[in-house]
Amino acid sequence: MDRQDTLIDRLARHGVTRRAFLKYCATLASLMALPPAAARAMAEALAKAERPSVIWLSFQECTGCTESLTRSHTHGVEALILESLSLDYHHTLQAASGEAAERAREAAMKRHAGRYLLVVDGSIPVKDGGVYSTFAGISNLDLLLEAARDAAAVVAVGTCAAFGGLPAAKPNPTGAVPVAEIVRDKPLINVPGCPPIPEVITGVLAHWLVFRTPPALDRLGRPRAFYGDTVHDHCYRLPFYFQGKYAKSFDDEGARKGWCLYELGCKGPVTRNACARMKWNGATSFPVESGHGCLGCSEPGFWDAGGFYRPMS
Amino acid sequence: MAAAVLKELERLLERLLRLGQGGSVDLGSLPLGSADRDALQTRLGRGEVEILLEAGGHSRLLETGLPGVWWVQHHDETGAPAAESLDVSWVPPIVPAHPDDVRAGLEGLKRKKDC
Ligand code: SF4
Repeated sequence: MDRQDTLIDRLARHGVTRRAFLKYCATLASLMALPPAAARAMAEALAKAERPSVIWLSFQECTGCTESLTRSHTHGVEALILESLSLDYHHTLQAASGEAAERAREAAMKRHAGRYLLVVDGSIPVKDGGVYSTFAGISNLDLLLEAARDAAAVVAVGTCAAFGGLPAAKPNPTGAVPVAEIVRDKPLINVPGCPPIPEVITGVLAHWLVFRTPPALDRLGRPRAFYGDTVHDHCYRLPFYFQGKYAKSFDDEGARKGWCLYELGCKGPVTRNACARMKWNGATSFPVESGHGCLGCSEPGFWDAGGFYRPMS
Repeated sequence: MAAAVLKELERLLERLLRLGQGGSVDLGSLPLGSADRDALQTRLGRGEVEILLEAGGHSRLLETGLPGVWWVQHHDETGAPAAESLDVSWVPPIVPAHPDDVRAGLEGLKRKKDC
């Protein structure tokens, strides 16, 4: 490979030093609960990484997941690593449109057959032959089957792609299903959340870049490093939960004192996600810190879980 | 928890002396309460060296009272804590210049001299 093509050279051209890069790898390894020695291995591998091809397909979704990802660019090194991905096809971000865009996708799939990473956001409607969502006359179902065939692995970004999400909520008029129900013969990483935490999306992509294998996953295909604990496990209101101090309405004394939101419907105890640990918007806050209970958006069937404001018991 | 960290440091220091290579304990991944943290800081004490690094944010690398054990704190560009570890090494590996960078610097120096 041309020496100028290594990631470390590209970063250097943007003013990122090797030490800043090493530091980013240490942070990422810590975030993903990798052994400390992995940070150095990660730095070595990422520095030499080829530019991997990514095909990103958006199906029944609201574009919130892409919005989340594009707002993750608070960390300079992380942003540049993401820029080094060759995003060969992405409806929202690509410049090409129409026939030209579809030809670019086909060419990239052919050129990188067996090596590209397929990222999917949105669920796939399968009712009535999949007519409810199409691009250039191709149903989402057919497009996914075609793109998955030569992919090295598939990442389902967002709850719609991972578990069906809003489109699959009752009565599920389009017969929406998650990626896992269609792609069964490829490594699949589910990154749920409505939307997922941006740093979780980038962490999963960077892990793929370095190791070319999925990270350790739980039984629902979610990376354990980010979805191993519940929101409740790391919630700063947990002492109030144990003391039995609960807010009963959003404007009572308990709410003003920051008591636990369990009785206002918080789903934190059954929701596996890193919101309380990593937080949002550059680690500023997360829903419970803003005074609203967790909706459980990274869990299967969260829209039909009995009401956002109804206590779990 | 502090006792478990100290035990791991003992193992890594022995490794450093035997193989010339230590390792590190990621404090961010441990359920360390403030009491554990205070106990650890008291037990490890302060050494003679403090290294400040400005690379993608501020970092502080403090030698502890145990030679070879460094308390490393990284912050990101916004000043938010990014990672924290206890590194066991002669010098934390992020500090020495990388041979490729030294080579590039030398080439630059020679080019300037030729102008
Ligand atoms: S607010 Fe929700 S997540 Fe936090 S302690 Fe109460 S129930 Fe758990």
